[in-house]
Amino acid sequence: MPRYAMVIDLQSCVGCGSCSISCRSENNVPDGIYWSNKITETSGTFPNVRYHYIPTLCNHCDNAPCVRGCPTGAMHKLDNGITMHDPKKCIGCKYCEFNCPYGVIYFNWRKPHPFWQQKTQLLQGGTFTPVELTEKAGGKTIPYYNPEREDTLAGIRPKGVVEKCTFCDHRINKGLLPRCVEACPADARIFGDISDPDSEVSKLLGKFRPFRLREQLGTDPHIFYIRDFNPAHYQPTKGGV
Amino acid sequence: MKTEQSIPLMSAYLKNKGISRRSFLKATAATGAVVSLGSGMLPKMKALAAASAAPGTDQGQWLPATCQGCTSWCSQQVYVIDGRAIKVRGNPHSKVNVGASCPRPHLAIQQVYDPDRIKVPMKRTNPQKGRDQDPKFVPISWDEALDTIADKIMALRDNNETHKYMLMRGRYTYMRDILYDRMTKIIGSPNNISHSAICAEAEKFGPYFTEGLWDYRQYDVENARYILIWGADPLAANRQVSYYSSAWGTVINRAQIAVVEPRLSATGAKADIWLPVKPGHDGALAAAMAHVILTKGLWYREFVGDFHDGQNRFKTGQDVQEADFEEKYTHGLVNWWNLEIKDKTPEWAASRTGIPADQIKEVAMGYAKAAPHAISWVGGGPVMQVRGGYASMICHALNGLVGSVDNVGGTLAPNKVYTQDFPKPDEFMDEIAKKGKSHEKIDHRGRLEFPSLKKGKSGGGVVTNNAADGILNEDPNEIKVAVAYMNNFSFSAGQPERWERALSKIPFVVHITTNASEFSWFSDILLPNTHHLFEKWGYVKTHGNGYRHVSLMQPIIKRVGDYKTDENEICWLLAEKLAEQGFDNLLRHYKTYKDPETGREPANADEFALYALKYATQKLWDPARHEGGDKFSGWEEFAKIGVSNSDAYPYRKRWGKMKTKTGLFEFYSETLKEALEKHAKKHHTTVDHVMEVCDYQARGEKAFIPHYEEPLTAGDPDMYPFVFVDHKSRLNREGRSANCSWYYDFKDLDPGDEPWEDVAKLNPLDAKKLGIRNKDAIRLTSPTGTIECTAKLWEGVQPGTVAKCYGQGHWVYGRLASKVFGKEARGGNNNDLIPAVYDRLSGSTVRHAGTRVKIEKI
Amino acid sequence: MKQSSSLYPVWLGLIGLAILAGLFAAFRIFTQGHYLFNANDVLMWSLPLGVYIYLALTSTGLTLLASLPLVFGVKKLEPIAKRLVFLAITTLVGGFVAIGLELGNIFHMFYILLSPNLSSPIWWMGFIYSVELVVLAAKFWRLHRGDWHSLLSRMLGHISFVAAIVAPLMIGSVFGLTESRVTYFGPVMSIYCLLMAILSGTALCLFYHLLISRINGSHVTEDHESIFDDISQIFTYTLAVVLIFTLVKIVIESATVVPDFLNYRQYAQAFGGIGRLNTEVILGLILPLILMVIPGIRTGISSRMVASALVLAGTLAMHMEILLAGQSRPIGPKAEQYPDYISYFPSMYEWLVMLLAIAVALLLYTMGERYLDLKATPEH
Repeated sequence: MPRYAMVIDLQSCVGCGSCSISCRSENNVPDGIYWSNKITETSGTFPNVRYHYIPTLCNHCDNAPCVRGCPTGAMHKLDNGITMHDPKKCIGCKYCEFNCPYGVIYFNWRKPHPFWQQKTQLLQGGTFTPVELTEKAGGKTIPYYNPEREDTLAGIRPKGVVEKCTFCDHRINKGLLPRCVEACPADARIFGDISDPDSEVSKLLGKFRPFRLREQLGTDPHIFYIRDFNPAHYQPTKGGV
Repeated sequence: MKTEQSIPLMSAYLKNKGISRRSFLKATAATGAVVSLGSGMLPKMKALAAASAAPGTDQGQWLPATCQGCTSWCSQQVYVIDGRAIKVRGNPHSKVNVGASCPRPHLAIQQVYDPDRIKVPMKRTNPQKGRDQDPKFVPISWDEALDTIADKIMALRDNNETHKYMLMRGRYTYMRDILYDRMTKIIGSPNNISHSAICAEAEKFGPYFTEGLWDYRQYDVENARYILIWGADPLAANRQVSYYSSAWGTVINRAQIAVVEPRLSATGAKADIWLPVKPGHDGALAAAMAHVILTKGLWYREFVGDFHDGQNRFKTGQDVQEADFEEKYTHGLVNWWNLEIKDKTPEWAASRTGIPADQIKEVAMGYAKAAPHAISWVGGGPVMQVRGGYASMICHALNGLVGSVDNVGGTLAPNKVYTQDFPKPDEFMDEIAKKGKSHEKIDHRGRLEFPSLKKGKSGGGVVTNNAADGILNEDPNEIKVAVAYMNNFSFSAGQPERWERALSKIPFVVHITTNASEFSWFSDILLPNTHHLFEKWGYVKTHGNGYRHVSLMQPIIKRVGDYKTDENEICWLLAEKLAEQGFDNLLRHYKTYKDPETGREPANADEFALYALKYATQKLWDPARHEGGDKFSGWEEFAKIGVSNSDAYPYRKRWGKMKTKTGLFEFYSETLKEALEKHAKKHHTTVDHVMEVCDYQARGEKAFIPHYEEPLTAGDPDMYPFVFVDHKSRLNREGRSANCSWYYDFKDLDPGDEPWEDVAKLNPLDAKKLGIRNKDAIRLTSPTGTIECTAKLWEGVQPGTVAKCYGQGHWVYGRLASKVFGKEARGGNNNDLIPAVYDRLSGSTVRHAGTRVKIEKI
Repeated sequence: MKQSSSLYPVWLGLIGLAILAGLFAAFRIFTQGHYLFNANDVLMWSLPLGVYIYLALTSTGLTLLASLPLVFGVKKLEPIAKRLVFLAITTLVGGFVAIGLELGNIFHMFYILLSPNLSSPIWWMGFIYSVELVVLAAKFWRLHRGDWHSLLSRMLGHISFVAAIVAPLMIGSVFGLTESRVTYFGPVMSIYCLLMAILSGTALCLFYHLLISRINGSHVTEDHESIFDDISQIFTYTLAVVLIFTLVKIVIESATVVPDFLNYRQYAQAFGGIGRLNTEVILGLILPLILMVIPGIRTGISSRMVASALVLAGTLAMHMEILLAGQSRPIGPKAEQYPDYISYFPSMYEWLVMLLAIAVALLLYTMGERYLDLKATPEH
């Protein structure tokens, strides 16, 4: 059984967010919920300033606090290392969200996609209502609904349960890369089986000194970061007194 | 997905469009290739699929498409299930965008399925026009809409005043000539006005008058060792964002990157050096860099040549004898030195640019030492300014010094392309048309004050934004009927309030658009357009990564509304209506666009669109007419792949054969000299007078060389203390993504911006002085306008400036785009602040260093 | 409530109104979702959860008090034992109402039984409180039947006591097991919850009995007065212990420069304060303690009522503040879309959830007083 992991090469990352936006359509994720997200930081003061960007997603921890704390096992581990959620078992206590050290779990506070439940027309007779448009396009709740998400999870998660990144398990099952990996224009995300020493992720982890987020918590996250967002050259110097 | 599953889908699509059984069969034959396209996995995914135990089945298929969210024009693939678009990715067959896709195309599925798109033609019922006048649009049939338009055009023809017809073009495909050129000409008007000058024409000015290239350059970044970027942000905006995003991780391994830009950009964030130049003073920086390169003897001798004795006589402040220097592939270096560069020391530049002299030297030397693999990348920042043409020249001239022009790791021209023009219109232009067309254009191009020297020709280029004044002043004549498509000048051009008045003045305006926009608000008929990425017939050509590709647009999803394509279907339908009214020249012309495979002439709009596309791209797909680049077995295969690549770039082929007057890279532009002298002669005056009238500082020979001109920024510094810095969003689909919720949910992908806010970014020091804190509501006021937005304190902005991303501030366009549709804007439109001023030599609208503003807390 | 009083129907009417309002809120929450709360994905647990913690712990405190006569044989307290058990049940029911409306999907609750996760403190908390409720109900049933000393009755007493010791530790460990939130992590929250349970339970016991005796207007017997003295003494000592514990906590939190604590400290005074002392500590712990130690004041019924009422309000406030301060700053990438600090004030629906929880408990108290002979003592 593979153990899936991701390496994110920060030097290749350009901070464009294609990962996060493409994730929305792949997984029918409502606005305000970010399965794929980022941590940014502007460091320094003018004119010596840089902006840094670290893409984030569920870390699919081996020792996942969200899984440990879930009272019903709705949040659970798959054999391939994916931290998976079953909304049918979720009681909506939000303890996983409270517990997650990485801020990647979100709660459905309302019926998802409220925009698409509107029944008003902008120009009478000349435009669609959001509900009409979805119907006419043949979607479900949203016009660009991806039915393939249903393979392993509710296509759209109902109100009252949490949701988060699943490493696109529905795609992996079909031999496809997670959508964020496919969509990354910079090939900054490298996906694979960390238990296979010949996988690309294993090779990269042997080449660079990776870091992981909040490693000291012992969660054993499986998103590894290599290199720097800005590996700038600089003039050698000893500084001065 | 299997073909048989998709045939019902295609037939549903075709039925939806209501075409005959006969043409249905034709269309199926023509597009069958598209639907049988495989799932298009990348090799590594195939490997993963092979390794996986139980590959599932895909419900949809990846179909080829083209993104026009910016002018990168990347080739894409769309995942389509049952005629419905689900997601988008880069087309792996393109060598330009190399299978990569920037974030923009993902927003396109929210555009194509925007409930606020107009789904049927509409007409205005409120005869009053104005910003406070609700047009009271009501839906009408296509027949009624087209009949009305035909009536108006016929009335002009009947009265011999076809020059009062005007066509305004916004985002186009290369099917553009059908509507923009042929229709306008055959109707008989000179007034086809493109948006080009509010885009980037000044950027092309420098390359043209140095190396004879009026076009965007491509940059050989993977072979570069130094990349000096002037006001461009290739990781976020225009052009080839996808390609540069894909390559950058490797590029920054090999090359040093220096970014000259008043605010910290996405590219600046990953750069070695950020040079926060004072807005408008880029030319001073470039001059000083040239000074350093020459005085330090670091120019690239293989390209530029050398002193006869090898002794460097370029010494600060000292003239050099022309005879002492023997140039190779360049012209006028010594002249340039004597006229401009000899005094432009780093110390001199430091006081103007705000960049320390040491840093200028460091960058200049680093850049020159990497020669010839050293790119000086000229973006819109330094050039879309009053006097920006010369900044364009001087920034680009650095490429000449280091020999990176047309060289490995340098700045390249577009590759050769093999598309062909549509049949000529001349024989279909009757006397009325010829007479009408002979009138002067409404934008005043070529007048003394608007040289607009595209490709060296006086009045060669458009002065888009000035057309509003032409209309308002009925100069040279009034405009009675206007057709506009995929443009929104009353939002996207500087000082858009002028357009509001100009459009209100035109008795009959037709707007072909996806959304009812600020332009539509003043229109009489709205025609619902197709979306380029999913619904159009068309193609574009673009270049990058040493290749040029031609990428196809085909209808690949079910049209939810009754949309029709601007540049072909609508033209045909209108031509039919005109023919019904006794004027069949246009229809007869269109019938000459025959299917290259069968020789048949088109019988309806759908066939016309398809045949026109096949005609224009024939040399790409027809093996019998192949002239270069990718080879296809025929149209079917080309339609399936969706993109054709040129051959690889031939380096150094243009050395000595540039399309300048001398054939050389001109540091002293004989080409510009000739153009300016011709323009002056046309107006019976001197070049100095032209310079004066056009707001330039240069006099005498300086007018012909790349040189620094002080910026001309509107607003008294005491009253308006901050220079306004406009920049573009990596999520802007040319200002059309403002009704997409993802635009707002991810707005902070632009460094310094915030989700669901329209922020003006201030340096914390300035903010403190003004007593402004994060999230405060603020008002920005320039001499021409006022906007309200949200304050953001950010270190990535230089003190004394305020930076704001373009894209928000719509007061129409959609329920998300505006706060109250038709009444209140969400955020502020930068263009309200920017005056309608020009770089008159190129005709470009000014976007940068154009105005000062004052900032008040609300 | 004096049953003959003309105010009785008014009282019932008020409770009825409160419950109706609460049910309206419940309906809206079930149909519309929890966006009706002023909570979000940073500050996800708000007033309803605070009310749950507060009521559950108070119930635990009452159970522990009831154990004195029922488990440890303190005969002197037998006259209040049955009422304490009843109060523990009803208060816990109120707590369950609060958490029931806090949970996103209570219809999935059966998975707690079908698919238990024994490593989850939430599961244990739910399990133990469920057991506690059943055991307390059974115990009450035995007491109501006059069975105070059978093996079964004593067994039930012992089980409820053990559950009452473990339950607050479990609530505490829900917080104490979050490695990601340093300000909660560790056993401190468990100990704190146990102490707070005793404090708020004792306060409720004292307040309630004083109120009942005042409403009934009946002459307070010397026996009862002596019982109140004892309860007051327990109350006073618990107050002192909680205050010391709280002060130590404040001192440690003030001394550290671990960023999480700095942030926590920055926002730990939602209700204001003097220096590092929070308002609710001053009004909810220090002031009552002063009232309860000054001779001459401490024995007065009014001062005892005031002190216990202050503690009842103060403990809820303290739970809320700890709850909010630990969630007020976004974790990791959530800082991208949320402000640095989430300010919070309960929405109408959250107030209504609290109202419903308390109204249900009050209704049950009222009914119990009327029909269940809560004054019963064993027949010796």
